[in-house]
Amino acid sequence: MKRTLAAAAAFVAAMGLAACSSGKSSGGSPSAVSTPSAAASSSAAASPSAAASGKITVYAALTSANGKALADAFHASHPNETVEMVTAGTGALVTRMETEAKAGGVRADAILLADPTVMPQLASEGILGSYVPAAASQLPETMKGDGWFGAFNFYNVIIYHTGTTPVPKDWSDLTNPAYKGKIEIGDPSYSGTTLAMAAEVPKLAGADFFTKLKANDVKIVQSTNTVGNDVASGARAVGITLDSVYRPLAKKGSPVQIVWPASGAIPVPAPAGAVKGHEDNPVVKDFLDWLLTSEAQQQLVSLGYAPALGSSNAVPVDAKVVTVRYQDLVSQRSAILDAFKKVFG
Amino acid sequence: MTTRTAFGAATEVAAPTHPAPLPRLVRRLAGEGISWVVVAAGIAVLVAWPIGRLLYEAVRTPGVFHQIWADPEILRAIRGTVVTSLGATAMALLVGGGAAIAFWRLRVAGQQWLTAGLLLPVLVPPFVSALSVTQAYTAAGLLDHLLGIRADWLFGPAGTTLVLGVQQVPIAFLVLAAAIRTRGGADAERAARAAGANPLTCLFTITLPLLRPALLAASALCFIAAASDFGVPAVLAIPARYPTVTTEIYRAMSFSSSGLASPVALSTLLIVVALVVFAVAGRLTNRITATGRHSSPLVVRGRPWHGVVSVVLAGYLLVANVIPFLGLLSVALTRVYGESPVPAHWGLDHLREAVSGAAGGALARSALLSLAAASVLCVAGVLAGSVALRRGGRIVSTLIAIPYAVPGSAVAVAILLAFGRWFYGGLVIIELAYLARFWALAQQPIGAALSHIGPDPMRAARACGASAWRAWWTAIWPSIRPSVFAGWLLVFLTCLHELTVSSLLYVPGKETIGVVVLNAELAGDLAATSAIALVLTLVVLACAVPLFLSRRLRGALGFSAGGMW
Repeated sequence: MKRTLAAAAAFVAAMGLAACSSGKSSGGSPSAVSTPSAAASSSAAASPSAAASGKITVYAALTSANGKALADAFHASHPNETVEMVTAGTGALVTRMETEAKAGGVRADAILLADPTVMPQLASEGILGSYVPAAASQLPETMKGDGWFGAFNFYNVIIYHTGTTPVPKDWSDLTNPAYKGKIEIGDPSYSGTTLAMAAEVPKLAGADFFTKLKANDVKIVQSTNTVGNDVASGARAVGITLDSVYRPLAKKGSPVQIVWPASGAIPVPAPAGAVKGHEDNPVVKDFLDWLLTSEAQQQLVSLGYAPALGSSNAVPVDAKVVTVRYQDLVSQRSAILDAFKKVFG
Repeated sequence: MTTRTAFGAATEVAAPTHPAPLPRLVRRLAGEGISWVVVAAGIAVLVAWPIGRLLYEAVRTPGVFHQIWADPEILRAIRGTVVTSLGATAMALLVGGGAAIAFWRLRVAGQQWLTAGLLLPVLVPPFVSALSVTQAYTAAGLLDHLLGIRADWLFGPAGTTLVLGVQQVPIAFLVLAAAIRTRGGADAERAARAAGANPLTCLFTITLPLLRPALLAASALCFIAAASDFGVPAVLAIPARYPTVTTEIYRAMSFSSSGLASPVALSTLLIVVALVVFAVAGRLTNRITATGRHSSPLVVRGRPWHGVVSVVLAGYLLVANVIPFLGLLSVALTRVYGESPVPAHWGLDHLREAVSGAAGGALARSALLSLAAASVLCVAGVLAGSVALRRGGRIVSTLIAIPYAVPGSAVAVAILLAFGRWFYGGLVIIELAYLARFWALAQQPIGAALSHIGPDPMRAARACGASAWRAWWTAIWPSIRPSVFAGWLLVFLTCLHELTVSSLLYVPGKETIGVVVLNAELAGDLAATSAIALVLTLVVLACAVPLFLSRRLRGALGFSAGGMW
């Protein structure tokens, strides 16, 4: 019974083909195979010419369009240096780096994420480097940490569908029965930006804030983006989400309005840093330094983010912003989630 | 019996005349054994090494499993997965399997279009399906705007089950339609009818038992596909605080305080689920050998009530596919997200953006990857299918199913851990992940078809002097061809909209279409996401249209009923 012989041959040939093409596409990787430390120098090792032309890879929790705009702006001010962006959600990028670290070294040279609570973990796993730009000294102490700094800021704010009455002014207003069945918030189990909200808002609006929200039939969705879309479409009238979610919707003309809560918006820094072993790459330093220049900050504002340094019209001058200690937030994470779960089950 | 005797006699005679330079064992190994070797090698490379490497991450972190079992949420999550996946499987078998049998037995008007409609969900990523259902039926959706209808109960187990079910219907339909084409059983049915059995007795005593291997293969595939899906529960189950295993895995990955260990440990739950499902399916499979191939379909003369079948299926398609598709369309066409989807607000801006971006190159790359994966896996599926039939071969289909049973992200991590050192940064690593993940999708229908064919046709052909290859080509291939095509199509279409694997493995400049869709979703831009999903669906539909219009291809897939042959 040799019936499968030919089929087997075809299979082997196909696998062989795949192997051949891989040999071509991953040229230059042999050095990375033999020594993980060589692979750790990443793109420089993968293609020796890259170091000369100054190309780095940045894992960025931005949209691909925003990532490209930022990379282009950097290239415009540093013509010999290029940034390639791998864009995905923070969780996917962290998973990717943790996996890469176990499979021959992290391929990124620098990171720009959307959730500061993952940074201590990346540091303890030996993924996060130590380089921080000199300009980071101007940042508030709470908006940076060991090996990272906030390149721009998110703010947890209230948004509402245009025409909603009454218009909420502060967090505590959301417990008003007038909003029963009309409120939507994110789930702190899935993101650190919402975790900060879950930790801080009860301090401002009363410890029973979430209990009252539950009585108001609040809907809890996975992501702050969903909150923005549902409020924009009118599926829900009021939501707690990020200012960066609100701005693109408003820019396109969606019927959605923002409220900077009177007792204070909850800030979340977008952490940037170098990957361990890549801190000495001059392009990595240039890129991280550049992020805190007024030019880059203006670029970030034009992409719809609130700047980390300097003023802009992104955040109203009279908007109150609370102080969040991100080191504490990470250590209290399970307690915060437990409290949230106790209310919502 | 006669063929068996003939075969025995043939070998008796052939042995002395043949010089037989090789011992029998070596000859056996060179022929039959080679497929064992290839399949074993494939399993070692694509399943054992990556999945083993993945599990090692969990095992070497002490306390992870204990930590998971200590979490009361996990039992709710397991229950959620089992309940929604069982419901989805039942629905897929009822709709997809029912349609496959009806199309074969009855004169159903508009069969081609109904078939295309039933297969439509396979062209759409699950999370887009779930999204379009919410855009059509829930608050501020299309029907809310038009008629004031809002079905917010869709958020929760019921909605999750229904959308997962709709998503699995194509799998059930393809596997069963292909099986019916080869399994026929028409002669047995004719005999039963002639003996006075009514059509229902026929269905339950002849057709369904003959289809049992295919039914079990389809159920197993549907169940583990539903259990490993994240897109649908992410949209429909999370807002109802109804956990499933995949949402728990996603939660652990978002906040991996213990690195990869806890999502990996959670993934082992799904591996166990797959092992159980396949053990049960394997136990229940009866291996009736074929009565013969090319059994002509037994089509009952057209009767008025056959129209009812058309109407019922068309109604299903309207609710499950067309209205959600219109919901998607309305969001993609409405210039400003949130405005009511009336013609005054329509514009092509989002669609233009979707087409102008990176989507073109990404689609080409995805098509290439899918083409290669489908073709390689069909060969691999035939090999694994034939190996699985031999003694001790059942383990093969179980092993192959493991990467299909865990979420795509876990497979991507496994492949990256296993092959990242050598293949990083190209399409090859994505291709490897596709091969590992979707092997089961090709192997199940092909294996089910092969299980019907006893050794007799092959022996008969060999006894008549055919070479091994020629015997296979004339005795086996025609009987499994529809299932091979079905497997090919399943793999090709599933790879085309694969999201999670490629998003963890791509490098800049090598985006797949899934990465483009996920990036739009990451941006929270529902209009752009809908537009890209719409373009993707339309492109794949355009590729699929020739398939449905070509009578020959349709025949090969077993889509059309009698009258055509």
